[in-house]
Amino acid sequence: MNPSKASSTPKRKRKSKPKAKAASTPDKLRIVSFCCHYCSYGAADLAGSSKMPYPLNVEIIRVPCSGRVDPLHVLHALENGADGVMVTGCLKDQCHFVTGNLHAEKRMMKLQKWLETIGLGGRLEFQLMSAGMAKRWVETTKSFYDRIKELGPNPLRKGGK
Amino acid sequence: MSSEKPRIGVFVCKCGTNIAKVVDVPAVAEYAKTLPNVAYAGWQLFTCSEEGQNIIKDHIAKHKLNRVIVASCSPKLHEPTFRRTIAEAGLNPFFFEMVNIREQVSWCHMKQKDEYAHATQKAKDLVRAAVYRAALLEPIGSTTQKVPPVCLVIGAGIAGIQAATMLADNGFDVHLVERSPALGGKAAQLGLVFMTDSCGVCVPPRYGEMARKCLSKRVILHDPKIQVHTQTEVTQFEGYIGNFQATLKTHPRGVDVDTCTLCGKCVEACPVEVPNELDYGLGTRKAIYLPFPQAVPRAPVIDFDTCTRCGKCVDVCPVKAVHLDEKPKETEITVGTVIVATGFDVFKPEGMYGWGEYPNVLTQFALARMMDPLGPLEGQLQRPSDKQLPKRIGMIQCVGSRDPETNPHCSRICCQVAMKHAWFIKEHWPDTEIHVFYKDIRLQGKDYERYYLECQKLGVHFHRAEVTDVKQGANKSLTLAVEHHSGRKETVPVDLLVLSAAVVPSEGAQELAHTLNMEVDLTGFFREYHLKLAPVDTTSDGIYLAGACSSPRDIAESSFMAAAAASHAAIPMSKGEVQVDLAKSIVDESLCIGCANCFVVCPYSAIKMEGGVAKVIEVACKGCGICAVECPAEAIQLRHFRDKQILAQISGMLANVEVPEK
Ligand SMILES: Cc1cc2nc3c(=O)[nH]c(=O)nc-3n(C[C@H](O)[C@H](O)[C@H](O)COP(=O)(O)OP(=O)(O)OC[C@H]3O[C@@H](n4cnc5c(N)ncnc54)[C@H](O)[C@@H]3O)c2cc1C
Ligand code: SF4
Ligand code: SF4
Repeated sequence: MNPSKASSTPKRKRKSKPKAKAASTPDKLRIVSFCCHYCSYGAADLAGSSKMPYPLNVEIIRVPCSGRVDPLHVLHALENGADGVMVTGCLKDQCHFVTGNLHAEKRMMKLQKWLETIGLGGRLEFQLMSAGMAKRWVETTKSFYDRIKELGPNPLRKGGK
Repeated sequence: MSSEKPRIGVFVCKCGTNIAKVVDVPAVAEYAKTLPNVAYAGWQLFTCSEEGQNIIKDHIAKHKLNRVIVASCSPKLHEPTFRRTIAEAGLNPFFFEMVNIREQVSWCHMKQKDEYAHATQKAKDLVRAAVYRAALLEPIGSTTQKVPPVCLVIGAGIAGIQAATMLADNGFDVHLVERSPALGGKAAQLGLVFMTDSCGVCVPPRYGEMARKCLSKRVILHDPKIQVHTQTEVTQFEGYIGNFQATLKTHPRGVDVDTCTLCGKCVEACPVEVPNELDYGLGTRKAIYLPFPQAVPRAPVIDFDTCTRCGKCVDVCPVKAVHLDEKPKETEITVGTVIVATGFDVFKPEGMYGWGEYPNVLTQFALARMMDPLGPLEGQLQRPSDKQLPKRIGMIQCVGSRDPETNPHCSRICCQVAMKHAWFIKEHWPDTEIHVFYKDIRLQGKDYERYYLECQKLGVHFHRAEVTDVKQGANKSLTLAVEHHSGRKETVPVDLLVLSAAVVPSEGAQELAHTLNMEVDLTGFFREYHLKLAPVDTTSDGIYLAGACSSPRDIAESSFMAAAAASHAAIPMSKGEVQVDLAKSIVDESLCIGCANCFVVCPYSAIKMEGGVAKVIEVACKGCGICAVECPAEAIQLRHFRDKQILAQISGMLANVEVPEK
């Protein structure tokens, strides 16, 4: 993690966008999920094509590999008010990019510990699944949503605790 | 990065009613108009249609759009389609962003009927995220990689041989690598095979020939375009399409194939006798042996694990072809493409139905070896325990198939194999009684039904039943406890029990997948790039699949697939080059501090350290972005997934969440 990097992120354009704000639904919890193109994104697609429901609060950002997800990206999401963040990748030994998921796991484990120390514990979930595991995708999103519901909104968010 | 001001066009798709039933599509399009840099937004019924694509092109011209967003289905489906569309309209294909509001909004939330308003909101969030990201997209070009006309074919079963000969006929050079000492794979050991009821090692006529040929007529060994490496494995492999480097390790044969006259004196002289692994305990072989009578290459091989190095074979060989001191050999080759044809293995039904415990319980493969006229018993049907002709034979289907405990998949060929064997036995030994116990009979191939009808005509008994227990009696005959699907229970005595054991991935498939960086599916077979649209491609460009290595297949299917794989491999090799897009990592040398973090983590060795800075080998980089996270200096970035692009997407997604200003 590199704090100097975090501060170099583009300015949020909230001010210039009153309309977007008007459409906001602050009562809804927001979960950002990073999905790798080859596995977990495929699992989410399969859940969709199999018409398997899961919480609407989960919104996906596609990355080539879970190994592309920088702790900085997770922090940026939390800083912008996400109530929870999921990072999902291919199964062990089945990463499309060989070792990407292992790097992701190490990074996210470390970050999870760090988040606890700043009062954001439990808001980052790391899970592995293959593209065929729509069921695991649904179960993971459901149980993470339940956990976030219990934790309540992100304290960094207006109206958060 | 392009300096012109972004002018984004947003095209929201109804996908008929697929999306529109759940998401208020016109509302999403209206909303998109309010977002920064959006110069046009609208909705369509089917954006991917010819008409839909033309509308995109028209709007690009009319509104001078320089970025396009389509909110429709999964990018896994249509990202390539729309990239092509915008390229046809003169935009760089990477000025495109896709929002998945079908699989990831309307379809998954279709059953959440009270939450359709939330679904529409979610679609808006995703579109907004894409708009923020799109503003920061950059044009990305491509580079050319030469592809030499040389293919590595791994596995010389029917599929590997078919692919190798087709490529050679097309003028390409082939390295055909086979792990075992003989070519032909399983098909060479099966005796007569369906659908032709001919020998499994018949190979199709080569270009310009009239008749098919027997593999043992050395068609392959004498082709100057095909270099055959038996007893060889790929131990190291790296590179990318056009430039794959493989290390081949060849174990010593101990016999010089070119001088050997196959007189057989060495085999006679050898004092060591061990069970022949090919024959499942039915026969024995010497430490120097010909794997099976029609084995190609036509020379014996020494099994150095059991050889005592007594030297008797060396002494008797009239042409001095035996060399006990031959060493393993390593060869390095560079090839443009690779075809994997490593086939399958027969499941070992350990602990099931007395297999491995009772001598008269066999697999269909062992039965095939037994009935092969050139096999260890020269085509005799007999019980292993007493060499008597069995009067009653039981066959159990789906052993290790369609079973959550062992393998969930259907092995696809076993019903047909059982029919073939039952028919053959009934024709040659008509007094034999045959009972087949099955869950379902699935005969999927062309004209397979004929075998079923013949079996019924000849009086083979079919029982839709489970065999719940097998007991061995005094004379080693077996008693089967049978529970019919109708609920009726009975016991059935048999002299010989044959298990239709599953078709499973070949031994070492996992390791090979790892070496070649291929994927396997949940059954352990190699994964195709796309089951429907790219069934012989893999996720690694330039590596193709043929035969039973990606799913159980019969010979005919393995042979089609080999032809398809050969023609796919031929495409880049005949063009002589491929275009590789440069959505790869890139180093800003002015920022790089030379720490080599990226070099260390790259799984593809796509980074080299040169003059104290990192350099990306663009054709080798696969674009995972693992390196970008490790760089402490923000010097290496993955194009198309740069930090700032991902961060903007996150900002956009959450722009309607209120966070107290810092
Ligand atoms: C009992 C039985 C009866 C059958 N009868 C029929 C029939 O009558 N008709 C029919 O159409 N089909 C039949 N089949 C199916 C048939 O065997 C397959 O369709 C066919 O063998 C598939 O060919 P292949 O080349 O893909 O695989 P294989 O025949 O398995 O050949 C693969 C080759 O690759 C080699 N190899 C494996 N791993 C490596 C490695 N890592 N490096 C180098 N080489 C490697 C193996 O040694 C082998 O030579 C039968 C199958 C069984 C089990
Ligand atoms: S993105 Fe980086 S780590 Fe991944 S293949 Fe390319 S250079 Fe290697
Ligand atoms: S990690 Fe960054 S700084 Fe280190 S060598 Fe690679 S590009 Fe240069």
